[in-house]
Amino acid sequence: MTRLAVLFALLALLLSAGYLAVDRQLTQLVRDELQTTALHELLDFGSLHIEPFEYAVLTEISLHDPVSGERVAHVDELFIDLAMEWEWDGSTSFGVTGLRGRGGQALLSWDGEDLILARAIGALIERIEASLPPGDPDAPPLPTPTMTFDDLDVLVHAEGEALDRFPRTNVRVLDNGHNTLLRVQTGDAARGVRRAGRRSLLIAAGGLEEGEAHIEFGYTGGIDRVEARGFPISPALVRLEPENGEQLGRELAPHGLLDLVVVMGADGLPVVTGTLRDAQLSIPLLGFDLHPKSIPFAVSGGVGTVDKAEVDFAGGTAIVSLHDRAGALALTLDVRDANFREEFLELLPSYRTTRELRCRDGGRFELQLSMLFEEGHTLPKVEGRGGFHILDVRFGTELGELHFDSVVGSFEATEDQLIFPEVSGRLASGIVAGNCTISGALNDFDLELRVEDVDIGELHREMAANGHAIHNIAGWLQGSLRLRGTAGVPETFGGDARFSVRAGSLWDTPLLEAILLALPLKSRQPSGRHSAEASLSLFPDRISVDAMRLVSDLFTLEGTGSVGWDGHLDLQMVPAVPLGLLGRLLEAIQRSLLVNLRVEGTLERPRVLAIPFDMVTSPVRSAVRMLLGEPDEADPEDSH
Amino acid sequence: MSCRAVLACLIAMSLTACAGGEARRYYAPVELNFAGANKAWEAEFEGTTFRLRCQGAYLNEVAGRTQRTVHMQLEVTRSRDGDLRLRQSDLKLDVGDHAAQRVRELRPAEVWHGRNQLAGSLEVRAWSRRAFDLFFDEDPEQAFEPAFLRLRWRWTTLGEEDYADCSFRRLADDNPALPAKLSSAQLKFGVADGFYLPGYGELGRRALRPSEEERQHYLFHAPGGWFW
Repeated sequence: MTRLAVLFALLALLLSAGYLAVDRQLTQLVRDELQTTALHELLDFGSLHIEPFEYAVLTEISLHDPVSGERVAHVDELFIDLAMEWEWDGSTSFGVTGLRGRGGQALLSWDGEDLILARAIGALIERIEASLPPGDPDAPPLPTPTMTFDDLDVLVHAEGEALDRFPRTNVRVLDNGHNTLLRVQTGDAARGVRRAGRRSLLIAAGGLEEGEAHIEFGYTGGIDRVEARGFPISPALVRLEPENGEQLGRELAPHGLLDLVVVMGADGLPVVTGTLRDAQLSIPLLGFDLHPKSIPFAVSGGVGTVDKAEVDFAGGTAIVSLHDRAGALALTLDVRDANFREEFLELLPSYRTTRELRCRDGGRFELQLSMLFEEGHTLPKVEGRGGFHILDVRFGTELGELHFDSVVGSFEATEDQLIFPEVSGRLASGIVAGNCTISGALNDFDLELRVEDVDIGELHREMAANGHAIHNIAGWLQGSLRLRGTAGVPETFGGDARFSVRAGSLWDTPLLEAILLALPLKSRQPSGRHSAEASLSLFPDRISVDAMRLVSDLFTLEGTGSVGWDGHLDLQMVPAVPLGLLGRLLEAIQRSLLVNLRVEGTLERPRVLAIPFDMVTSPVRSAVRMLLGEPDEADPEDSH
Repeated sequence: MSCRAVLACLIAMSLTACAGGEARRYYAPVELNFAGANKAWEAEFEGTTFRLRCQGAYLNEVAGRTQRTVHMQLEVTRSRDGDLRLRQSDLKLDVGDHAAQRVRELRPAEVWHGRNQLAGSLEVRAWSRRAFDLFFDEDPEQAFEPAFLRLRWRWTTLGEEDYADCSFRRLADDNPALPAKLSSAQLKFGVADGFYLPGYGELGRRALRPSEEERQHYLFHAPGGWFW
């Protein structure tokens, strides 16, 4: 029994040694063959082992760049599945049914012109084809073997810098004689590249046109159709693009999956259609990320279009299209029912520079915009319309901040005008509504505003919250304002306004306090509510008070004058002439108010000078008499 | 108090006397606590925000007849694409008594937008705001004083129909925060704390007419003359 065991052991040892010797002989034989076909410049391997009629195993295979000699790919083990068939006529046929690689590493790097791995594979195939004897043209083509590579470690380099890595990558190359499928699987995601045609597929470097230099799925010997499904786009991949890939990869940081179909057009130029989906773009100018759900694009006749790309952003979804229109680039943007965020307004240069206006996050908006970029024009032609509902709008003024709630409005943009036909918002329990037209390149504006039922006490408390003096005032403001000019150029401003305050209590203001002190009143205790109104003309350097009136239980005053934009006052006030049912009451007031008031100083520090009424009216009477040609009355003062 | 305000009060009082002395009743949204201000009930429905206030129920003279009027103010903000349309016939006011045993349904007698009376539907364009005054009139001889109110309305946007309702409860007459107890100074003004003509417990002749007056609230009643 023991002898038998030893005998079998020796036999096994001899057989193993025999196999080993055969493998060594075969290995040397293949090496010699490589040498004669000059394939050794591209390919080397560790050993070869053959299981007759089943498979051969190559170990430690390395693929080298034909230009630099650098190793660009390495496979630990490659199983070559063999098949031999005997026919009834005694002939035999031998073929390879499959290639199965396991382990190793592939390096994707760009040398400025080519993807080096693709160049090496292309060169390898060319040399193999050149070394094969010409076959029988009538013989049926041999079936293309299936190829699989599992557990590859794919490295992406650019300019010597490691950019990306895809460990555990599996590659499947399947061919049924009519279609070839290259399927690449990295991690959990399945990504595939497929092309229809008779020849094998490779990822080629270089453009489809002479002079172009960008990554595409190419094919040596011409392209009839290339398809990509879910091919991963990453910043690393974009940075391989030699023209401006480095900048695009760093700044846009694109991610996504690419579906692509390339066919040759009748004009010899490729026709490209495809979709970039589940993507992410960071555009520094925007300040927020874009997540294109799908960007359908097409390139035909050298002209590219994007048709109804769905792009998610922080507020919602935008539908974007890009078309070539008679040599100009037309961009259309359609945003519906999006959430409003202030950062969207930051895109407008005028908003960035207008620090007085702040629109906080919250609300909704929509936008349908068409922009035409023409050669020779720095600014695009813009047309469109939209609407907005912004919950919180703040506008800073010299006197404090105005706080508007629920500002809703619409707008229309034409070639040379931006029109807000109706905008309204709540301000201190009231409503401010208006319209505005902005025209021309200089931003000439024409603004009309209506104010209704604004609680000036509430308004004042809100505005004074930032350190301004708080006065105990009340009343309800209404009025209208029209202002025209060129935005940012106060010297061009002009317009008019009319405001009134009902049920007011403005006694606790520096101006009325000063007036009360100046008037010869028996009682200076404020009592009751009063009404006030003013009709104003707005000039670049001042506000002209064309008429103003204040009606109270204490007195009634009418006046004119001007107020500087810096708050400087130059007003004249006189008691109003009593009329109607209140005549007796106002006559009594007039008797006690035989003065004219001259108001100077500022709104915060007014100076009120009371001038006896007769001193005012006498010169007027003299002037009237002079105009009428009547002799002037002798001035009693002069007679002395 | 000015002569005009005194006169206004006298006219109002005389009208009230003619009408049998029924004072203005005040109502607050059931969902809100009343603390002196007439806060608006507010709700959003798919891009449309409604704000609703009740200015009370009061006797006044309309076209020579004494009517009890329930005055509602409806503000509609459309913050999405698509115009809104609300037919007057789709505005209904349920008026109930204390025990909710009896409920009447009223249709608006008049609907105004600012200075203009609307003959047809209430329409609000996309991305805009409109305020409407709704007047529901009835013969006080034939009807009980309302203890609760419920406004129901139905509207259409982008071909879709939707509806809403809001209920109001009557505020007790002895509530010290009732606007009718505000000082006479308020008589000179139309709105305070959300109440229209707050100082008037009773209102005079309803003088609805197109007006050049900017402030819409001054359209509806003329208890006296005004400076303006």
